[in-house]
Amino acid sequence: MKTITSAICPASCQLAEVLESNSSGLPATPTASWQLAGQLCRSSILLLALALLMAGTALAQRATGVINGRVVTEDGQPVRHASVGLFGMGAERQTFGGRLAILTDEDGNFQADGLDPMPYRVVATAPGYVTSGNNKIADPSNPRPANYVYVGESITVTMVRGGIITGKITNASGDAVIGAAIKVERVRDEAGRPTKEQSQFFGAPRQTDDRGVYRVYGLLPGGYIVSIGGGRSYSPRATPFEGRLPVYYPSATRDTATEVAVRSGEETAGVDIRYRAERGSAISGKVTGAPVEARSGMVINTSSIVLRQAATGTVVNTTFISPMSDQNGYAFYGIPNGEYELIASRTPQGDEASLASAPRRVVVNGRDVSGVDLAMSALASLAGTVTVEKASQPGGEQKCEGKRESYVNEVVVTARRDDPTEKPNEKDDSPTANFGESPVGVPSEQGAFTIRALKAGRFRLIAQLPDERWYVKSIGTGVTAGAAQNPAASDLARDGMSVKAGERLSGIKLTIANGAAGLKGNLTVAAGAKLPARIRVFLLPAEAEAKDDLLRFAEVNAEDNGTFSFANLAPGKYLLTARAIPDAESADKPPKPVAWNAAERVKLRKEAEAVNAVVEVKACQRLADFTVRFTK
Amino acid sequence: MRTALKLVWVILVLSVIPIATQAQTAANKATGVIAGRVTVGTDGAPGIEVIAVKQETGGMVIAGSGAQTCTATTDAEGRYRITNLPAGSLRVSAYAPAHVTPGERNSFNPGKTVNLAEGETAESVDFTMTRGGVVTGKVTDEDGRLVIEEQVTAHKLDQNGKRAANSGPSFSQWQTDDRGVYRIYGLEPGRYLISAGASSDDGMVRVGRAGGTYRRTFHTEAAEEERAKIIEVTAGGEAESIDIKIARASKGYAASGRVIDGDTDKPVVGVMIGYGITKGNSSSFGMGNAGTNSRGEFRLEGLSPNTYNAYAMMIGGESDSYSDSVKFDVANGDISGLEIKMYRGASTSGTAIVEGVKDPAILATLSKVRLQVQNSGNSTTMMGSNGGQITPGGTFKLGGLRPGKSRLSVNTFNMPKGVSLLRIERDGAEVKEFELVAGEAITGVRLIFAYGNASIAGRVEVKGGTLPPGARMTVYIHHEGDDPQKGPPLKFAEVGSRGQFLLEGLTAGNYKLTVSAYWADPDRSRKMPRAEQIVMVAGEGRQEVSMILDITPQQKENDK
Repeated sequence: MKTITSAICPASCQLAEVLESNSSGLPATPTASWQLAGQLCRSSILLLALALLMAGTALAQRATGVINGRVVTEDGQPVRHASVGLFGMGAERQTFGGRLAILTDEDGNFQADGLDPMPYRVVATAPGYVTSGNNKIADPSNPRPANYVYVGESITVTMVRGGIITGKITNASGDAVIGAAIKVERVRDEAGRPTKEQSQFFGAPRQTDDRGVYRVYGLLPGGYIVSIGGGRSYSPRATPFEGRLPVYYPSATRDTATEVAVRSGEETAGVDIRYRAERGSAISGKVTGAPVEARSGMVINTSSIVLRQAATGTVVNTTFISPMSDQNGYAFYGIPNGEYELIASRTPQGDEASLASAPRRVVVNGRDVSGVDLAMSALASLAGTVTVEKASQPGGEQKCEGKRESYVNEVVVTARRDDPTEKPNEKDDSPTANFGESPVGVPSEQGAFTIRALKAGRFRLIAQLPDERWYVKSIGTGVTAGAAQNPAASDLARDGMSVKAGERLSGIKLTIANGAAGLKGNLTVAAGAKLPARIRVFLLPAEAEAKDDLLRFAEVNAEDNGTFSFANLAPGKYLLTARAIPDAESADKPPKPVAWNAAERVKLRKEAEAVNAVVEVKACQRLADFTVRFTK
Repeated sequence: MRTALKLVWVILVLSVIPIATQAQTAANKATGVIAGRVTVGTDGAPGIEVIAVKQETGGMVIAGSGAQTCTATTDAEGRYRITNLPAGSLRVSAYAPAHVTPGERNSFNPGKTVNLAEGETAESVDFTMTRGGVVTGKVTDEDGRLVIEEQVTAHKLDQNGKRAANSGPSFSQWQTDDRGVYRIYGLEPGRYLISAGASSDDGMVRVGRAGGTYRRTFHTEAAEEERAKIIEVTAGGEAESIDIKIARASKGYAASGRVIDGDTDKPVVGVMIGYGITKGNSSSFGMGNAGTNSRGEFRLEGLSPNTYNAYAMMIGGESDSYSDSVKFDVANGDISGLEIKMYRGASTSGTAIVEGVKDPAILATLSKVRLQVQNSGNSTTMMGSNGGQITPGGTFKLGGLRPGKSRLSVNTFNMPKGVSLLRIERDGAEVKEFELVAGEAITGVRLIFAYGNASIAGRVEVKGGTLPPGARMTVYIHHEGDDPQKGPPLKFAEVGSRGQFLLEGLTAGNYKLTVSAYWADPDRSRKMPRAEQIVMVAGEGRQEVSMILDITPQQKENDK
């Protein structure tokens, strides 16, 4: 048998194709191919990287660089043969780069050379280990972009032994349930706060063995709910678990599930589930309104359909339109009673717009629901250019010392939805974002960027800068010189930008200047008092005339010991204040910056004026040890 | 060639794709019944769930990931009865993963095909199983460290004590957990070798795997198969402490180089590197790097000692180039300076029509058709942009084609219902093969499709014996006069356990029907039986056909 597979994760909306020839002339089983694809896909974020992939283009030859680092355990021991993936985010879906998997050596070190400058997301995996939350890298269980790594940097990745959940599944008559896939969902973080995001388990699903015993390992510490059934079996063959209601530990629905605590390196045993093989309802319909798939070379982008709980936004299941189906139909099976939302979406091909349907609400009450058609239409996009001002501007800015040269195509521009009509509990910034991530654009070498897959509404841009010497000077539509000092009509930082459904808004000018300052400091309290567990520190412009210059506002979370650090600040005079973070706030998704709301800005200014902690930072200045008494 | 058919088909990895079955309409009443008995040895097996799944064209795997299933549980005597079944082709299987069904060849889509008419009851769809055995143990490396997430393989030995090829039910792969422990269950009783680690004859390349690469080692600590200890697996038995001590993992070696344009020597940016282990006529596949960088450079990591071939491929987007492949050996060090050249290929383009059809709904389905080009002179199959599709405007273009004699065909597996490729024309004349010249564009090609709703309903009678357990029969259809060796069939279908089959969506014409049976044949000594028949199909309606398949044992012809 000859087996050739393209390594695109079949579990995503991008499908693998397999070429097979076998000597009998009969269709061979796709066993090996699937296993291979599975192996490749185990490097998890590969599919995200591939989503960015399009045609190779002729780029001017330019300097390439190195990213190196070390993978260690919490106590500093090297993790040998850990796999480190560097996923480059090229501009405009035209290029992507990096390495899918570099293995660390016996001392835990790795080095990747020949890397083109662009933002990289780093993922480390090692059997039985998980990356702890404090890394400057992406967490494989959480594909939301958090941090980027740049060429020339050296990183340390800390991994901890994952926790383990083990137990036995039996049916109503007490017999072992064999070959059932176990689903674990992290619902609480290590500190006990609810996690809003879906934790995605990229590894092979763990199944019960012939004794009904399962063992899920490599889990991030936290609180979990454990279930079997629920319309997805993960098995390539037909199983009796499909279409059955999920049963949560110990023998409950999702709402009444008992949480299981998982600690690093520890085993939580006896998580036994009594399985009731009850049938759930089906939800089915068609995807209409736009071609459900686009093919380009070996890549098939087909439409995916997400089923999520209406109240919480928790993704219950995802499916996609099979390229085999000429009906464009979809179906979910084994759905418990409840209120749901369905959304269909498709990744664009090349320059095409992203497509998505409006969320459609469905109530399941003991019966199958059919005819839930989802009409897709084009989503909006924002486009513009990022310009880095030359260091020697007439404004007298000086060129600061820096470790590495940075490039405009290392900037990541994020569009975050901030719509005045938004409902307080509205979930996603983008209809295609199932994990709460905001849509991003990476500029080309010429600085041109496009952010796609936006629903209608007002957005604000956030630029993640690769260089501590840089700060965002203005976001506008026309000539932007001096705009930051003198907010003009086209101050998009202050006003945001609104797009209509399907609109392609262009002409945004984001200007980056050299000479950014930094500020480090710490919060103290009166003797005998204690700092709150989580604190957010705010900077706002001290000058009254800059009170609405949003680019002069900044906020960061303080470390546990009360230290804080601001970077990429425009030179100037600032007021500093701090607030305790409410316990209810999820660590996964920070709230919108206070500065975005005019009334909140006024409130914050009042607070800051009362604290009266004034600090002036000059161009290129790195101010440290700024101490502020925390009062509230 | 000793094989009757030699086809390369592009199929989709269906095992993981949920086929969204349409919501049942009133016209399609689900009133069918499938009933039978599940036995273990001679006893009825109670409490076993029997599953019926609607299957698509030709018995393709549609299970998994939430496909709609109908089930029934066996009673105290092992009897089951699944009711409310829709008409059509159904795959029926008894779900008992710790048991073994003798002769079962396809663990991904086990069971039997039952072609059910509306309201029909199919009785005696029986399953006979035996209890499987268990092998369990622990894998550690020479330093005593636990080996986590490493593959463990049970190789079944045949009567001659040889281990069977790495496919089919004699080969089971499992993984160690975080304690280094593995547990293989549902094994057919017999003699086995148990190994951990990877070997190049697995037919798959595993590179850059977290944890490193372990060389295949047999229980107890034998790198060579001859020194491996044989494990007896009995029905319902458990072989414990089958521990394996394995040599320390290796990080593997790296191979680096660049991809350049063969004509201009300029770097080719953003292409992926596909590579495989070359061994005999089999090759496996891996994909390395995340696209060549701005200098056309690539680097593959974690390679174990082997002979490889590597080539460049464009994953997305239209390419006008094809890649040479470069062969290299990895022995005991990194390899650098590899050069993969890409050349401008030929292209072919034109239009597609459906003969006599103006209905836009039917024409729109052409965009589902997957076009493929098979280069007859290219023995090493390489992935590349040798596929394409028809645009909504009814045009197509395939670029970056390798020079030489090539055939243009469609992928049978995802043809829209009722649509089949009738012929390919160029300048008004039918063409079977194109002579492609580098850089040349062949334009004005017409793909002429047919749309029909005639069908062939057939029955296959087996003579000369009874099919062994687990045997399957498939029926293929080609245009009369087409060489089945030189192209995929127009349609195919799995013959049901009661001998019936149904081929739908045909247009009028003369067809060649081929039925063949196949089953697990460990020493591959048998020639699998085949029968052919010419069938005339009128414009519409159902054509009844009966075929006879003689399964009297025949030795394979010698290689010719």
